[in-house]
Amino acid sequence: MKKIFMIEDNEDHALLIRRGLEGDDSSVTHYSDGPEAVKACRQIQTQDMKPDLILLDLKLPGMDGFEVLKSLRSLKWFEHVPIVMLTTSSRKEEIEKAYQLGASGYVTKTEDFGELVAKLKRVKDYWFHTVEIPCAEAVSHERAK
Amino acid sequence: MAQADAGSAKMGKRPFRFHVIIFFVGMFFTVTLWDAYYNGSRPFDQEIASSLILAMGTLFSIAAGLFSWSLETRRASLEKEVEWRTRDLQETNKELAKKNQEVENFIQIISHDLKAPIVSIQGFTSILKSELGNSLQGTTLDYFNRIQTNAQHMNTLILDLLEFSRVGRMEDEKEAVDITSLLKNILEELRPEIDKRNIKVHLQDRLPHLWGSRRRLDQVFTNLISNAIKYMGSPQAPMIEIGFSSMKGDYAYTLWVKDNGIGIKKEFQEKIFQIFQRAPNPLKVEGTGIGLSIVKKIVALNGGRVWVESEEGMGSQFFMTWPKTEGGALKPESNLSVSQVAARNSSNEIFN
Repeated sequence: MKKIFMIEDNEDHALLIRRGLEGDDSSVTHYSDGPEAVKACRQIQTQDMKPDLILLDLKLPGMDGFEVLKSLRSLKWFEHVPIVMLTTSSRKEEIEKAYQLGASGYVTKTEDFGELVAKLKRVKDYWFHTVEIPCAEAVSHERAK
Repeated sequence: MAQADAGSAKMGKRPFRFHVIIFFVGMFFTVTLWDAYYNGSRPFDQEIASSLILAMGTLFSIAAGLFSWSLETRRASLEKEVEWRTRDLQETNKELAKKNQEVENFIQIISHDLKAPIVSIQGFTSILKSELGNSLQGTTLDYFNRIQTNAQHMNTLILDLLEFSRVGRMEDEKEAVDITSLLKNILEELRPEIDKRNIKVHLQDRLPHLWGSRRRLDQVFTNLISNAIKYMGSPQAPMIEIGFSSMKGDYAYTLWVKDNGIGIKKEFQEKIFQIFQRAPNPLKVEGTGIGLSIVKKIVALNGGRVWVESEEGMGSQFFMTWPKTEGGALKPESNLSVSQVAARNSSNEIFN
């Protein structure tokens, strides 16, 4: 079973995303703020404990998505873990900054729930190597082989 | 302020000594002259003349000293003033930067905080709908749909508000835009709607090139033309006319989009240019009321003006003025201010 970490402060959104993602092939662990998530990730000691995909909200209170992204990328096992940003605004400057800091892609939290679920599934399938063509808005660099 | 400091340091401040020295130099020449006269061999009036020279020379020296001192004071006060002005400008800059930051924060709020709840509302409503499935019927289904329609409308409003705020905030690259080819492209895109309603479109020959952002000009004309299409209704021979007028010496071109659609009541003719304000329409055309406010903002930012002439049931004619600028600089013949032009180009004078 693949592991997905979701870092999202909005409880409603977390609930919706979890519902859209969870299936037979993955389990979702939810963290509602940055420090909590970074702490949990830092405690991971073995390769097989690390998540297969991280969904990280850009706008978090206190430690924001960018800072969390930077911290996560500096951790031992997390250099190649796909970190996909979640954004409501999908502002160009924000997305560019996220890519510079090592984000693997992003998903806009569209108000159309069906579309959001489809996008999340696509992202998941891409990073879990079950599909080859990524969701258009959600890729920056190549998948680790 | 740094510049003012550098300036005064370069020029150096003259000490009071300097002006006293000027006085004494004057006195030295006076005394020398007087001495030459007094010891000279003038036959008469010697005493009077030499006293006169002494007195005049003294006065002149005092005046020279005072004059040089007052120049210095004046220079110092000018420098002070420059310093004050610079400080003023810096304050204004700081204030502007603060305002910009406020706008930036506001945009952040709109694009994130206002949108987040809509994602939740839409998400949970569609989950509920799919879970309730067939048991959702009649009024309950209708209410569900209304919730979704409203959430969707809210989302559109937010996107529109963002677009409205984007105009003018982003630096748009300007160029000389060929309006004829711009309009042809727009009409090509709107072709299906135009054909569906059998609308005849007439473009005036040799429309001007306008100096502006292609994207923004496209927005202006797309909005005006698609409004003309949407609010056409069903006249006998639906038509849209696009033209311009330009008098020699005019500061701006006047362009118009004219239709013979349903028209706009007098009381709404100004209101429709405000954001989210719409005139009630019997055709039940959907929209948020953003289009014309964006048109107005774009035109105003480029130094022009928009207005409409219309009568209910008789069609509308939307006018806009657009400065005749080249490379961002005004043509030499125009030395009118924007407001003068606006006043001069008012519809009554030119078109009635």
